[in-house]
Amino acid sequence: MTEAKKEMIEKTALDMVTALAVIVNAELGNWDKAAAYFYGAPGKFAYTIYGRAEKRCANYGTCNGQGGEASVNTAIGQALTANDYATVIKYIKVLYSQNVLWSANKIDQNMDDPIEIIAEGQAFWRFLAPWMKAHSNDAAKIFDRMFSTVLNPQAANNYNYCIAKKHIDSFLTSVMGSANAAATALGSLNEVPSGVACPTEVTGLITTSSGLFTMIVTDAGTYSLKSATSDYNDIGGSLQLSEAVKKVVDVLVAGTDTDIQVFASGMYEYTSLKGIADAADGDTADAFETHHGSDWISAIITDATSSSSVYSTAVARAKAIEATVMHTIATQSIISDLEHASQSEHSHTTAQKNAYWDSAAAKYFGTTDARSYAMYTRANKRGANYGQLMGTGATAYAATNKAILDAFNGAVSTANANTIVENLKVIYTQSTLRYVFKFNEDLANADDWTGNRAEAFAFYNNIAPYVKAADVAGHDAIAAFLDPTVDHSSCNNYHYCKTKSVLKAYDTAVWSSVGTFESDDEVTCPATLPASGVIACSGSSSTPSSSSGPIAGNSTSPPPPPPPLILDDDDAGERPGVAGVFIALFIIALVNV
Amino acid sequence: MDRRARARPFAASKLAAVVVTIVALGTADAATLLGTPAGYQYTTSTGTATQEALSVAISGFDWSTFTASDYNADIANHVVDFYHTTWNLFLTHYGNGSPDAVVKDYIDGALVSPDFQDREPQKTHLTRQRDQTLNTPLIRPTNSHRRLEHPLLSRQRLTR
Repeated sequence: MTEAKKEMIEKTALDMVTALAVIVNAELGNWDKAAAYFYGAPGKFAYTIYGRAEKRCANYGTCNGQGGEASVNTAIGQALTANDYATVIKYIKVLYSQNVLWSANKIDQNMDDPIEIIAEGQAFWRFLAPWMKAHSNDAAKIFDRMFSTVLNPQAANNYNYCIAKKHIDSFLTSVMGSANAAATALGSLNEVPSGVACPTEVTGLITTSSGLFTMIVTDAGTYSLKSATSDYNDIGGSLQLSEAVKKVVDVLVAGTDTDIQVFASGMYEYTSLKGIADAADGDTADAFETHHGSDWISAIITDATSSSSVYSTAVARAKAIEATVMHTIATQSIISDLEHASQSEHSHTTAQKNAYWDSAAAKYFGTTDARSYAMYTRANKRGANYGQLMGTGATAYAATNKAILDAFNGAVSTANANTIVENLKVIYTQSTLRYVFKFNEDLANADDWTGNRAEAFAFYNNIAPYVKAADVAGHDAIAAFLDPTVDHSSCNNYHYCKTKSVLKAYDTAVWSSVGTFESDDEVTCPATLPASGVIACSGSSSTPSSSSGPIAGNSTSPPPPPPPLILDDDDAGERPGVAGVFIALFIIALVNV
Repeated sequence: MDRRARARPFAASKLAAVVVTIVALGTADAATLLGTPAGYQYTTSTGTATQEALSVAISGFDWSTFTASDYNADIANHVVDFYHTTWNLFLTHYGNGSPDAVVKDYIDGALVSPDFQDREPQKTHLTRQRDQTLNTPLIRPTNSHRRLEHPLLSRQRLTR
């Protein structure tokens, strides 16, 4: 029997049966019987809910009852003696609120392998559910979804803990009579990682002001949840992916080694991003794992955060982390959800398919506050770069976003899933080409090129298996010069021209939606490109020296001064380029004249 | 002699004996229930061996080999006595009045479900544990997905 099954059975036999036995006998006035179920036989209290309370009080700092036992246990014991049924049941509700919240937090912290925790939590939750449902139907739906063993769990930015805390606090306030009494009874869960700050409810960051989300409103249109009326209509955990990304990017904003170490000190894990990255399943995830290696996304993060990182510079490391967290984790997770929703091999019910479809949409569009950290906004930026915007002004949106939104709003089907994935490929084809261009531009300007190359590397990872399937040699060429662990000696836009040539051909349907790159006319690529090396290298490339780790190769160029870091991929702070420098010099000359 | 006067000592001693017997019986059933030694202690006045037996049974289970027979032998006899307000709430929530829905059916479901396969054997096939579910129809052989290529990938013949 698996550990998960064992948890479900044990927690039902020990917890559900014993707790109900205590309550039922207390209700009937059988106080001795209730007490016997509560304490168990001599020396057997560990196999009763008394023992469960002793474990939880250690987690919540509530072992402050008589003689250091759980305060819950003292309260129940005294209530049994006083024949006080109401207090008995009150503190049993406190105990199972502690259990449910404890399990919610453990899901967040173990997203890469949570099934045993979910099974255990589900058994705990089943005991609390009838009362919670009476208190809040939305809360009951949230916990049903959270502890579902038929749906992949969702978690990001400590959503499960935070949403559970919100509803447990509300529930216990009603049980105990005041928020203060509830807080005292519950205690403070000491397993919540430091740095976790749940959003305040006033801003509606984890639910809407009226409850669960039923739609996602964007400039491209509104997505109406498929599962709005089902039991599985909580997309909060998926929406929080964008908030988790925001938290990481905000930490990495300066791109220094110090920032990277802050991120590396546990943020990747406690925001659940590692768990989401390692847990993506399905055919595409398998294919990408075959291509990139086992747990490849986390491997990139490990490489980039290691104190002995082989990535060239701190800037490169920060960029690789940021782009991987923002794009790759989301892409893989979205495709995994789409496959669950649309592929018959998963054999999900309609409600389950709808839940997966909604989760994919939530991860794509993100929360309103953190949408600029979701793929939706990246698509808009690329649409602007490639002349593919629809609408006007600040509310313009990319054609890819319109296509993706329409597909999400269409039927849950393989065809619409394919449309979404094809458009994701468009976005990362656009992104790869653009950042390879910026990489070459840096070279021409003798700027630090490692950051833009690292971003190009991270973007390309999202389409690399598709490219390789169509053009092995082309893929090998791109992969070689985007490898963030090696130096290079190319110039004259070889990288850009080679990338454009390969990306143009690997999927013609994708390329037809890419549009025209805004800097396309700045580079004239030769009709025939060499398989590797240079086009016609008339100068030497500048290569910044490593500030934190070795670079393979023999760079002898002096390092350029560190440029201002542009972390937000928003292209707003692009460096001026050669033309800009000439114009500036020209103006200065005129002024001097 | 007043017959009542002669009878009085006898009646008194009889009453005293009864009282002693009751006290003795009560003392025999009185017990202290407690958890941790320094914690609160509850004193019973009636026998509770039947109720205490649940904890004894639970302490003896090997959950890896737990069966429906174990449930029937050691747990069902406690559940069958449940009734009243809270139990009715649970019956309504889980089973529209079916007493088995709250506990027995759930345990049976976990016992017979082919769900939650061991993780490691699946990882070797690049199939993730989370895909497993409680519902039998939802379970696929661990290598079944290999026969169904992703529509986007199949035409590109990705090598696994």
